[in-house]
Amino acid sequence: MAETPLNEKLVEGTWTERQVDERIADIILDPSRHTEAQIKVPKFLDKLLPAQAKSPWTMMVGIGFLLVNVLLVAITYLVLTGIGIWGNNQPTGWGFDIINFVWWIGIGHAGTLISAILLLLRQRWRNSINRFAEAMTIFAVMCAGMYPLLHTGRPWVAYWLMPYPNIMGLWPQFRSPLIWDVFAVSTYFTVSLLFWYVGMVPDFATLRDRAKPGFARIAFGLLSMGWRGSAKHWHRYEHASIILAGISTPLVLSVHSIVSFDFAMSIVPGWNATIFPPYFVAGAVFAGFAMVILLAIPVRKWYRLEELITMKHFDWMAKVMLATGLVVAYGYCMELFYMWYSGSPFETSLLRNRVGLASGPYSWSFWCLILFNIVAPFPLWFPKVRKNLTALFVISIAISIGMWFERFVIIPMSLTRDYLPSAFGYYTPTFWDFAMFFGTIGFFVFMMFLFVRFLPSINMFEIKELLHQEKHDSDHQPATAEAH
Amino acid sequence: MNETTPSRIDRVMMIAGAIAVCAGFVLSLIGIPMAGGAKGLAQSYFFAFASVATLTIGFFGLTLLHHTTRARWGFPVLRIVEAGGGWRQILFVALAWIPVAFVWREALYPWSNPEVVASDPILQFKAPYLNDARWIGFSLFAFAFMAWMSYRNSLWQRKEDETGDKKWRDLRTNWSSPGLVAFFLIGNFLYTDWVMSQDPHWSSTMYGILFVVGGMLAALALTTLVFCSQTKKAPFARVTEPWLTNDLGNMLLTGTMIWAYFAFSQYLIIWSGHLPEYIPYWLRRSNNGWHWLGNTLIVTQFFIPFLLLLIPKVKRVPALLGTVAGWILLMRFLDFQYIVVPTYREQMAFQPLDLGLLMLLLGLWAINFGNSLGQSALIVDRLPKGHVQEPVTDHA
Repeated sequence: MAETPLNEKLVEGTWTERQVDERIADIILDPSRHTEAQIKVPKFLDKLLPAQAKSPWTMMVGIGFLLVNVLLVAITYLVLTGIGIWGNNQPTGWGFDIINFVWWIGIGHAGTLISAILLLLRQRWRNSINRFAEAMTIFAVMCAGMYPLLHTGRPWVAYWLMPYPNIMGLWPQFRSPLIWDVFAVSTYFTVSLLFWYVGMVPDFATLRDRAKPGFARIAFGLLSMGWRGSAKHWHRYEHASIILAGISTPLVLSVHSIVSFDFAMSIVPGWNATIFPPYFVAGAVFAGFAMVILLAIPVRKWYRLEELITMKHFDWMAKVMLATGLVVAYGYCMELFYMWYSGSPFETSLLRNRVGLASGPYSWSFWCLILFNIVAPFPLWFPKVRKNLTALFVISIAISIGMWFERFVIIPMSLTRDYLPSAFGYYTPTFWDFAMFFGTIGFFVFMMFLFVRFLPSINMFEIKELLHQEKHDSDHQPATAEAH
Repeated sequence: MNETTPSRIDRVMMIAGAIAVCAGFVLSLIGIPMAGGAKGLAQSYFFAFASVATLTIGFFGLTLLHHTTRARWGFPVLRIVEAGGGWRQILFVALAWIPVAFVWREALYPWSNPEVVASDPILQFKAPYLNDARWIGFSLFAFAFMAWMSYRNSLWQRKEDETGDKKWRDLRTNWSSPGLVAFFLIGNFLYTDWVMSQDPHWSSTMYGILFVVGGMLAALALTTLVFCSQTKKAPFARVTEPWLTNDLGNMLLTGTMIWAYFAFSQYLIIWSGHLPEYIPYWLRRSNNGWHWLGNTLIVTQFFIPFLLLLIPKVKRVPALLGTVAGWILLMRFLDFQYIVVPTYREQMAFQPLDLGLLMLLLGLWAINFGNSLGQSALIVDRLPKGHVQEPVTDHA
């Protein structure tokens, strides 16, 4: 894909408010009108598959659905048999379950950052991508939540994690960061879901008004909760948005900080590092933006949304990814240096395990991490790369893999080489670990594409507001102004 | 519009600096007999040096941050930030560093004493890093890097002011972005060398960045204080708008929260680990009177400014914002005391020499700062749209 010119405007072309409604609402109400491309398939499949099945949406939902079934089989087998089907065993009590939990929680962070923090900072470039990123947060947190829930072994009594009056003398261990996780993640999910839903109410009303009589009109009518677009409604809406953004902003920091405490509060070598909270938060935003880019590039192309999700958006997202990637790289440098500087034999031994290809059983994964998280994003320094969608797509895939490796490096590597050589071991994931992992990826893809098809994936009213603001700005820009 | 009286902040800073130098000199003379000999003098001087150096390094970091992001709030205060972190101030800090490096190094750093190293296997292990030549060489490199970067940026800023050519602006951004990355790395290792290595058996991955962020918060507080004190005078009166003080207030709020987040994370992780290598740092700061200072700082350095800066009116009235900024700055110096001094002084007690030398160095710093402010216009010649529309050329 050739380099795409960078337009300074956040909405390209000339749009009326009606056209914005039509373009986005028709994806839901009248999909035959939006010009969706067909995916090229191999010749033998081309004859076998009907035209409808070759649409990108059907393909993605189909793949997602297939993997959701894999996930269902994995969960059913797990519940029937027990968590022994996973590769977890002494000394690795935590394996893929916690790696994937942290990975998914991290991916969700970009959504909250875009929707809440950028709203408070009055950043207009968030408008086209915020709804999309918020949906990503919800589904990513759902995927994350499955792992600890299933790792309890008895998910049907997961409510024991909550403090409640009972006759059995059960009480959560509040000194454990794992219990903090329960509250942090459930709060995060609830607030994100509320924020997402409240943000969609004006758009639901638009869809209600545009829908033909029938199920869609009734459904969107119920979801829009009687929204009429009166001044009072807008006033209350704006207040609710700011309050929810204010609540969500500390959650961006607190959730992943608490996730980092799962490790940092312990005394396992490589885990008791004070840099963990900010470095985990930066890593989460890094991975989250990579996922937003990974999803936004194909959706933008398949639904012809190039004028609404512009190259300016990708440029900004790439810059945020570069900045957070540098914080992550800083975290790696600090970890390695102070492992050596501490002079502790356990820390220096872990350092050798990580870096020395011959001395550590998982050192290959450490070097994969460096390759994917530090070397691969380096080209983002160059504006040409930030304007090239193919390059951005490849870099985002690399970052997503790299961030998974980061958690792999932290968890089994430390657990299999801690204090006593007699307790050293090796962690091998099983087929069911991979089935759960790819199953959750399928669940995420499935839910995201259902969302794109059945809910407004781009914020219609904010785009209209943006059009108004840009028009206002261009009408009132003095000829003598010196724009830096 | 009635033009207001021109700002003479450069002279004010120089006069305030001269008064501080005199007061600091007298206080130091009083304090020397109570300091406990040459070692006590070295320790008090180091505290003063570390505080002033951190403020300057914080200003330098803010300059790079502004050139990288080109955020709207930075333009009206850019000259103040440049004066605080400019090459003149960096050279001043480098001069102030000379006694630490060449007179009192052995008194301040156990690893610099061959006899101590000979009896300590951990110091022998760390010798490739903790040795005189590397320590001095790295500090010199850091000073050279910072002075060079700030000189280049101010040169390009002047050229942009003269020619209006945007290529100078782009050059600043292109150099400051990687410069900012280098700044955080260099800052981290500087504080590992200067402060952390005074207790060479202890380490924390958060420590360096906590200093760097703390320095940037102190610099932002001083910038806001200077700006808010001059909002009724030219040329600042022309750019003073509620959104600007609001943005500066929000930046202070963000800085306060980041500092608290870093400091609390470091505390919680070390406390919960309770490992013999790391816990002595907090044990020293939780006993012998230091806990009073630590507990007070939780309220005075975090809760008070945090709650005040949540009130919109505080951020929109320059006098109120300036007061909060001054308070934050004061608390930053108390925090330096809490971080730096317990390493070598077990019992907390008021030491006049600490205050005297701090005032002396800060006074000299303020004179230099005022002098730098007087070298050019007090706000940049060409402001982006949204500030003022015509070029500002009030102050020669």
